[in-house]
Amino acid sequence: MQGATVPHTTHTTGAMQANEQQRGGFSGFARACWTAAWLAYRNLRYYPSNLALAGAQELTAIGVWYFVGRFLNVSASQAVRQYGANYLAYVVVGVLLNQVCLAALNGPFTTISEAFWEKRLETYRLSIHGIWANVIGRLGWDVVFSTVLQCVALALLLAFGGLSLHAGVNVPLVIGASLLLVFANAGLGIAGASLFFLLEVKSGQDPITWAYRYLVMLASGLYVPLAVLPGWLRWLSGILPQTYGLAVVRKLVLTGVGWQSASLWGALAPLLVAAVFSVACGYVLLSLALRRAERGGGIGVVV
Amino acid sequence: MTTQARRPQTPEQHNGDPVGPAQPAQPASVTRMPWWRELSALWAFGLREYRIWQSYRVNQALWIANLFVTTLLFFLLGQTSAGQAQHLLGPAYGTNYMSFIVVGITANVFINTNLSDPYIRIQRSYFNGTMDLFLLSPMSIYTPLLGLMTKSILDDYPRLFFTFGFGMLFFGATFNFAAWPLALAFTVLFLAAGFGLGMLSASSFYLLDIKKGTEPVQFVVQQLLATLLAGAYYPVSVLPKPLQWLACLIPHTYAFDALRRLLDPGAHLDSPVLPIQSALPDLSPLAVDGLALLILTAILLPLGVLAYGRGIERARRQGTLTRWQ
Amino acid sequence: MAVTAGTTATSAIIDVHGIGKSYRQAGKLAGRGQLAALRNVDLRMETGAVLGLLGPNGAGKTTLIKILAGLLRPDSGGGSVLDYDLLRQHRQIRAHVGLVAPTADVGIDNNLTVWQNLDFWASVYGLHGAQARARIAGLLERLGLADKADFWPMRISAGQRQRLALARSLLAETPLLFLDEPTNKLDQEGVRSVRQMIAELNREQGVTILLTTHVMEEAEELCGEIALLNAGELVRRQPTGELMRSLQLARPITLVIGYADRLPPHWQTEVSALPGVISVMLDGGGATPEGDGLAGDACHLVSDATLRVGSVDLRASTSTLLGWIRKHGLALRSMRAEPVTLTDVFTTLAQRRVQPAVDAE
Repeated sequence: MQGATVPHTTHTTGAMQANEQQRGGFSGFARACWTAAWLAYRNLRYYPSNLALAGAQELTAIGVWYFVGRFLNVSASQAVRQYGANYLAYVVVGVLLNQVCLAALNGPFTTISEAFWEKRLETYRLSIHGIWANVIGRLGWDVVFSTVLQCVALALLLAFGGLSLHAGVNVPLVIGASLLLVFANAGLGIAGASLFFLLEVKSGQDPITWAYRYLVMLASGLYVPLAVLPGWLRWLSGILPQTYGLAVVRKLVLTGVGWQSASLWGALAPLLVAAVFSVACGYVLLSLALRRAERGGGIGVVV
Repeated sequence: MTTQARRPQTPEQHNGDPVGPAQPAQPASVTRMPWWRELSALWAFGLREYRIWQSYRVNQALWIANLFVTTLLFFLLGQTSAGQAQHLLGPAYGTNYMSFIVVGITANVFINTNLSDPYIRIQRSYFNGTMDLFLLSPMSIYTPLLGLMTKSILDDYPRLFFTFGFGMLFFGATFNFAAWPLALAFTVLFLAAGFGLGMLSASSFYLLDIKKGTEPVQFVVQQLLATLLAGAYYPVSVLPKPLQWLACLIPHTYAFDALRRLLDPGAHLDSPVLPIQSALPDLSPLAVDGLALLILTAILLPLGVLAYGRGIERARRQGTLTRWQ
Repeated sequence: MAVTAGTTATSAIIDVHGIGKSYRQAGKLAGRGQLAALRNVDLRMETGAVLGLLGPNGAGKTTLIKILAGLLRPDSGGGSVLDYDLLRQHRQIRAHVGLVAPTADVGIDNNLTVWQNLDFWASVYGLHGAQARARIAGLLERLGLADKADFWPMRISAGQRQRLALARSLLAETPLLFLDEPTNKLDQEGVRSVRQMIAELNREQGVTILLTTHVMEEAEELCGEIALLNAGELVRRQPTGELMRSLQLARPITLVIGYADRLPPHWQTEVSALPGVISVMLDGGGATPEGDGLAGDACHLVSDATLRVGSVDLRASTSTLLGWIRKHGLALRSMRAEPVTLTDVFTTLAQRRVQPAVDAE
């Protein structure tokens, strides 16, 4: 037709930049994280038994400590007077929260390790949001999945296990404190993931999360009240975010303290600082690790 | 293995021209290795796995640290109960909570090798394509599996000494080794029953097509039942009665009970703890443990061996011995 | 010669018939029945032969090799390998065959040195002590890996790893060797050395070899016979030279002849008459016919010209073409032969199947 103009091609620099802006940005990043989380869910569902077995595994860990709690309840309850003198509730609440934290702690290294060995890491790096969307998205899924399971376990133990919590629990504060603790663990987990490149730890577990897990077991009050710990372990408690997070949540859930309580803020403030510091460190370390790997042999190569 | 006589080709017979009237192939007279050659092959696997194990030096330090931390944790738990925990053990398991814990931790660790490792080894052989190559040899189908487990045995079995050592040196555990031959016999039975379960678990790789993720046999028995119900960290009497009866289905429960009665100071051989022991008052609890382990071993070991053989044969029919297609 | 009881004496090292194999479809295709990987395959192979098994991806080559090696049970058919019954004596078959997988890293442990890897496999195959050491040293020497004995596999090249895999399979000194795409993913040097090794194994030790490959050139170089497998069926089997001639596959030979040369009279007729040549074409050169421009006149080239010759017998055509060039004093700038691909082979076969139907109509 005369006078008709040829349709303007989308492959101009301006169009590409606009396209990139749309795919980039926070909403783009959020969408990419969502996709990674959805993929992690689909991977779990691919073998249907995996979903059920992963759930059973989490519940077993809680079950063991539930029975340990029952075994030691009578004799150990005096040691947890400040938490309602109920050792069973003390240890179960701690384990439930810690399981979610472990998902945040272990997830990042596992995500990077799996992507590396399945040769997907360089492909992720070539995308706009790079590896971060994969790490954050997968982390999100792991935490959500673990949280759902812990809620199921809590419901079962409340209904059938003889577990009792304080009636007037400040739920928003509990959620807020738990989230802070999860963020603190996630930051540590991301810092641990950086060792995949910085120290060439290509399998197993990174030293940061490994050491942190064992310190938490021994010195955070997770299973053993702080008052029982020997001196050399007690000073270690002060540097662990778990110490503060567990203390806050237990106070809220087992004794019903409110936001006005000074002792609560005494633990909440360090937890907030730990969460911010941990996330910042994690981000810096992993970014540094990725840049360093690319300057060396590349992120897809075993050195 | 004898070699076959060869017929070298002349240059004229090479590439393009028929070889001429062919002689029948001369199969070697040995198609199955004598037993001492199987042991030799097993030794070769062990040496290989040891070399691989050596290259993960950090892991060696980490597993010692892991043991120490676990033992310390339960020591602290004992402190939490202000020294009252031993009174909760009942007359059967003596008066030393740390001794009770050390036996449970140790036995649980090395049964985990026999039970969980076979599946992992078969899985690895499948994904790295070596199962085909192992079968293309005169070895029995069981030798590669046993051989590949060497690394885990090197990793896990010595933990016995470290756990007992840590417990005795640092955490106040004491043991009575007077009945060590009987304790050893129970341990061997326990390991044999665990290996039977491990073979059943490994056979599910081919029989049930469970190639990835969690394998149900070892998960249900080791991670679920044994961890929760067998009494590794607390007496079985803490559990509700129905769960106590459920615990009587697995070999771990009897092994933990027997070993504690034999090794823990002040333990009584006669006080029943398990419901099945109370249900059979004419037999001593130790005799019940022994009989139960014998029966479980007699069922599980041959069943596991048979299932594994069937699994290999099924994989051969379906073409799923390895991932290389 | 000891013949295992229960088998029949046969002159062939492989003699199987009616082999069929289907796989159950998985995933989204589950429930849509079986996928037939092999259909009614008969195969006989004489001792000391080298047979090339060619076919596109999914033709069933690996399935057939696994069946013959005793690693896979056929759904139908039977026969014997090494005089052992394929169905009942698969264990014995497995103990006497060697196999090299398409991936060089299969069976090679990165945590062990080259020597340690072979030492391990020597024990697996029943070799020990001085016998094993001598065998390993000899193989490393023959495969050019003697100086790499203390290296980790990840520190040697892909070609060297493939040779290491070959060494592993040769430890057992089996009379029958299956090589599944042995030069897959190798560079030129690696390809050359592996092919050389295969030829030597057959020539000097009389090892019977069944080789699968995608590369026609490799099959032509190494194999006395070629069997073509397509969609699970054995569609053709012939000695290599006969196959190429019978398919009349024209292999393009490209020669660049220098300018200012003069192509002789009747050059087209002369070149067409050379052995194996089936087509001739001249590109470029600005060829100016001398005389009246009639066919058969000599041509004067004003620039470099490309002579494209189609040949069904590369060896014969190449030597005679060079002779023709020399005879007429032409300046040859370059000469190149293009390989025939499997696609060419199967396309030609497919056309042959269609053409009789068209002719019949």
